[in-house]
Amino acid sequence: MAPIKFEENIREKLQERELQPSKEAWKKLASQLANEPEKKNNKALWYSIAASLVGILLVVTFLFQTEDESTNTQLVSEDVVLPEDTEVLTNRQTLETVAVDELQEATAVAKEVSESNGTTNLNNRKTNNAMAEATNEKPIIVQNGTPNSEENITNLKPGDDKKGVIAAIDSEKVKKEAPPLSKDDRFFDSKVNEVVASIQDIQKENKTITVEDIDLLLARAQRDIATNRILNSGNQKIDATALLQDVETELERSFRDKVFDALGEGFNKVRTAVAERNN
Amino acid sequence: MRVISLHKNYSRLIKSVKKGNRKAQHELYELFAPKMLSVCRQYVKKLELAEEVMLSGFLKVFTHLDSFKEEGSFEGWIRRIMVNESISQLRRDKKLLFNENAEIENSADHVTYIETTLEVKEIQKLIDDLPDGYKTVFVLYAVEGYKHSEIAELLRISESTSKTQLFKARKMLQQKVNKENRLSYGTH
Repeated sequence: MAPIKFEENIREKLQERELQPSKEAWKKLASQLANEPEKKNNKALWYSIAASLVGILLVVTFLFQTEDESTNTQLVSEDVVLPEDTEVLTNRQTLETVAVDELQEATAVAKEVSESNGTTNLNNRKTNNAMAEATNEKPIIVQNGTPNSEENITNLKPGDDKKGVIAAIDSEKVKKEAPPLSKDDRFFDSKVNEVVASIQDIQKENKTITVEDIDLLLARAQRDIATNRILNSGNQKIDATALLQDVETELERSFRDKVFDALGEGFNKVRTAVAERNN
Repeated sequence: MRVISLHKNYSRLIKSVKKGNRKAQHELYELFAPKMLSVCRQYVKKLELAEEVMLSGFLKVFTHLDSFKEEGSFEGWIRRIMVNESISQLRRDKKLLFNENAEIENSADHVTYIETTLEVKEIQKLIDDLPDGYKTVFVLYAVEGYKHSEIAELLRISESTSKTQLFKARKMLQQKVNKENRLSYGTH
């Protein structure tokens, strides 16, 4: 079989063949081999550096975690150690919410009044009357921090104007023999005073107080109080739980705002429908 | 009865080379370089370039000696490295083109060589004259003993392409051989 023989011949001849390399060939190879071990050592070195870096990162991460845990325990222990202050704080918070609610109600009433009048600006008397009416609907409950105090409820007389209402709140706060106030309480008090002072300033200047102004002041004060709660200025640390709560309240509030808006719209529609029917 | 091992035992030499013994490395090189240069020369036409391919092949042999499992033929292992290096060189030089459309004068299906015994230089000349694609497949199949499936994997082609390339290589060789023979007869 010729094709097979021919190719077998080729195979045998080529496999037996030897070609002598040049004299420089081995020198070239030897120099390349000399470079090779260095590369290998470098590789091992890089691997060891990488491994040690990874190890350091792990240790640092672990340390941070233990630090966070100790901070959390500190926060918890603070809450436990100071029960009185907590009570005071909750009372203050109640007062805060009451005062805020009062102002919000007053603004809501003011809004209604403005709508009925067909104007967005109110003059001082009308505002004062509206606010006085709002306050008359509910007595303001001012409680002292310590349960031992007998001075608990103060009813404001009808006809008091807004100044009087706010002044009453102010005086009540001043009168109380307050137990040692925590930082938060002091801050809250200062904020409330700020809002009151700015409203009074506006009144003094005889400017018309718009609903938006009141909203703005209120929102600003609330924001500052919330921020202070979160950021503990003592040790410049952020209270994570407080931050989370704040965000959640914001979210809820936005939903709440939507609900209030919807309610307001609905109320307006009903009112106009009733008015038209009566006509 | 003396038991003859199928493969020569190079384990002592290999151990010494693994330790980085330069003398052992030189000894190994001296043993195999001439044959391995011949292997590379089958694929690469220029001798200087074939020598460079052989040296890079030896570098791989020394650096990957740990991957040689001392079961099969050590020479066969080195040879495979040399074949791979040669094909890589052809690929770098963009010579591995598998032209399916080359026309062949004689379109007969079977290959018939005139019975002749060629010298190795003539053989090499014949192979050098083949297009690189035909040549590579022919050498791998007929000289190295690779199967079409192995050739396909090595050259990243299909098995049918490998078979076609082999057929065309054989046809071309046949034509050249017949032509050479006619010429040689003609001079008598």
